[in-house]
Amino acid sequence: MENLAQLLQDAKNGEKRAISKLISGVERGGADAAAVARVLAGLTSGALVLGVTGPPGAGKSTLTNGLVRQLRESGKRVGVVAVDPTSPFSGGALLGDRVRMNGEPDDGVFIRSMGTRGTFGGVSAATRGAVNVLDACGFDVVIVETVGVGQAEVEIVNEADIVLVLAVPGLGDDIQAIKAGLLEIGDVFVVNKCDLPGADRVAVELKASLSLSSDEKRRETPVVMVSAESGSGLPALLDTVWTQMHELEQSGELTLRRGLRLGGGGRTGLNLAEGVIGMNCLNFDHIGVAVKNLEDAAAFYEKILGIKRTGIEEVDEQKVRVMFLPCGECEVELLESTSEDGPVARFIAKNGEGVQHVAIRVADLDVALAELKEQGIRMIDETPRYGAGGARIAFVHPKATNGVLMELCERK
Amino acid sequence: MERKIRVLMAKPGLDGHDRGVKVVSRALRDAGFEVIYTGLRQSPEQIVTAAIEEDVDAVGLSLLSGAHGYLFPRVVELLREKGGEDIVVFGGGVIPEEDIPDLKAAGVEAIFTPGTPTSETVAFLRGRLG
Repeated sequence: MENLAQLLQDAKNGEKRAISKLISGVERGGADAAAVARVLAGLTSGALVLGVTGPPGAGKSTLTNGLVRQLRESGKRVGVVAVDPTSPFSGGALLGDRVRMNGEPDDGVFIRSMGTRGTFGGVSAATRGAVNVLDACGFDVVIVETVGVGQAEVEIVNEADIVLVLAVPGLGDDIQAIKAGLLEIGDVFVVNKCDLPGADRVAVELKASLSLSSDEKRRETPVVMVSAESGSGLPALLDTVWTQMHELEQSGELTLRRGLRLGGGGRTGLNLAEGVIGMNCLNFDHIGVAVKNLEDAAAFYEKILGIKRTGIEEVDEQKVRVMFLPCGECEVELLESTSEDGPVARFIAKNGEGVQHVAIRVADLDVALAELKEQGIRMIDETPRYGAGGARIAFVHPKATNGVLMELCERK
Repeated sequence: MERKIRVLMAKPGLDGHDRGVKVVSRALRDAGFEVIYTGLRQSPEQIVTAAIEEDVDAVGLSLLSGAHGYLFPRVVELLREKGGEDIVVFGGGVIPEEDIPDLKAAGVEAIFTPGTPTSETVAFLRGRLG
């Protein structure tokens, strides 16, 4: 992505176009997502992330809209990431959450719709990255609205600090409320459409189900009745959310949840929305074999295996002459030292002739180096250098790779 | 991964007829686009804010009230003001033939009137953005 630093600066100044472009970078995945993640590093953690989940038609978008209004009244800047399903057949999606979020344009509100694009669990792979963008841009609260969920889509617990689970009258008897899944993830249960007949009963049944929980804290999970449409009960709901947040903060649970989220992990241990890896390993590029004499060693490959050399090159930086013997996508590089103190000469002195290193080709070496650094992987080369054939290369330390000297290379 | 084309479909102004916009939205979804539908009675400001926030490639405007002569160009103008000049604007609805040249001159790239097969709209967007 071009001008990422400028984009970030504009986004932090509240320019919606820039915020939007950063989120698009996250959604594209691969190197773009990794680049955005890199510039955001260290800027996230300020925002409270609220998850809103529940069955289709329970009123998630309407509730989100109501919460945005309430939060705006108290002066908070609010971001929204609203996820709707992508069709597994056409790959298209009809993202309709904005229909219920039709307030006047407001610099303190940013709403983004997303298709699930093949991710299961109620959110999309880009959800976390988008939340991080909004967090880094100074939004105080980010609301993540999931797709309409059934009984087992609980990925929202990995994306949010506090999860609101919606229930509505008319969806089934009390046995529906004690199945695993949704009932285990709510920090607050919200009975929406509280003006409809049967709403009281839903609240009673929820409380009854929760009271049977073996976990003491879960037994006390609040159940709040609201009408998201009219706004009644929303101030009380937000009070409950703040109380819950305060309790989670006191117990250290909030810090733990945020740590897992920002560290790329999650609470379920079944995290489908893994951090995107942007280096993109393409194929094994070559196997480096240390030999005393190129011509002697080449005889086996050329005369016995029938693999022909494509050339010989001297790489001064490595004090080595290299012969290339390609076979399919990968090649053997025979390495002969041009100096007694070169790395290949030292390798042979210590181990005798043999496989000295293996190389994996990556799409973007700069991304690879940044990602390895982020993961704390020990490197021989922290910055790229040039190897045979004009490739940009960097070596990973054998201590990080079970004793294999591994080169990452990028060829244009 | 293939680049997803994102399209915002909007109903500007005071017009409650959403059959057409829903049919086209559905056709675009089935063609593999990500369609963001914003609902009825949107002001040009709301539409443009949504288009920017959603980083869409195109905005489709549907109007049957007769106010297209003001509302469509206003959306184009606001998009340009807000840095969305690269976003393709197209329209549809009950729009008299003689109004189309002015709308095109104002930056609305295509107008699809009643009876147009949805495949034409899909082909236009693919050709323009694919």
